[in-house]
Amino acid sequence: MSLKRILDLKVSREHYQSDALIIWCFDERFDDYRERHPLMHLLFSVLFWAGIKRFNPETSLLRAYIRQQKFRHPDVLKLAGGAKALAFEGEGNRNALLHQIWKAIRLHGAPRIVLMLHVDCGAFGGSQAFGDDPSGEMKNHLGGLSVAGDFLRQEFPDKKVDLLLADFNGLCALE
Amino acid sequence: MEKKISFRSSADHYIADACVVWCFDDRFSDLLRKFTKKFKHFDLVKIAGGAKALAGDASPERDFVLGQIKTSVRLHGTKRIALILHRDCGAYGGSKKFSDEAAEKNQQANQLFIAKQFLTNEAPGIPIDIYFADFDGLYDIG
Repeated sequence: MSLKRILDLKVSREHYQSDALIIWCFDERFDDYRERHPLMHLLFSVLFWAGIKRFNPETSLLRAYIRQQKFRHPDVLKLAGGAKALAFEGEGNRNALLHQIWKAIRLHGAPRIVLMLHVDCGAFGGSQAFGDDPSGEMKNHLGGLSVAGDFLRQEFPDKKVDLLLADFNGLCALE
Repeated sequence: MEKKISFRSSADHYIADACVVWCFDDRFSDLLRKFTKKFKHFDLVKIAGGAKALAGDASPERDFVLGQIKTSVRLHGTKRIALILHRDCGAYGGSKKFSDEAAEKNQQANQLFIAKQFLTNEAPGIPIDIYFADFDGLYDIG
């Protein structure tokens, strides 16, 4: 066995309290790790704060959400389908995800849990699984978010649970 | 429903260069960002303990993580898999569970070999890379 360091980076050893536990789909269209060139980032930031909201300085919807919520240390669980396992899958997957949530909260004490589903999600078979009917797809996802939210509120009565639906134009919260 | 954010996301589908299985510990997020720069597109399975469940005995959690990787391959034609464990992981009880730093690194490397062997059987033909994330950077385990 050999270990070869391939990246140098000083990582903080400090433990942290999480602002929120976010359960998000791994579909890269709704989150990526690319950075803008610093000058482009600055330009976008100026335009965004000037009120031209289409110039969001963040490169993905998840990062824009984290910035908007001013989270310093979010715990992000990224999974195929996001919150899907809590509402649409069998007991084994639901319990496995629940176990992940318990672990995250035990370790970093997040006071909020954020659940996300998105349109055209491959884990659901994409929009075509709903006959390319946006209203049918939305109804399905909103129903699922509601079920998942109720389930988590029972499991974690002291936590705030937020429900989010993402599409290609942004993010909506289910009230 | 209340609109929270307007943001234009691409609707284009993609082929993933890799499925990266990484722990959700936010201390290592910058290292993750640096590591994944080499991929044009990738799927990130970000869970408590990273690859830990894949090194364990049969369990619903192991099936769940395996299902995540298989979904990545099925949906995005994922070309390779990267498994990561890190120093002072809360899912293992932290560094205090090990006698010293070298013992922790060795045990995590062994865990990664077990996880790699399991995945090699479950997803034959897909290259699997294993890494240990430390407080001074990322180590390739050869």
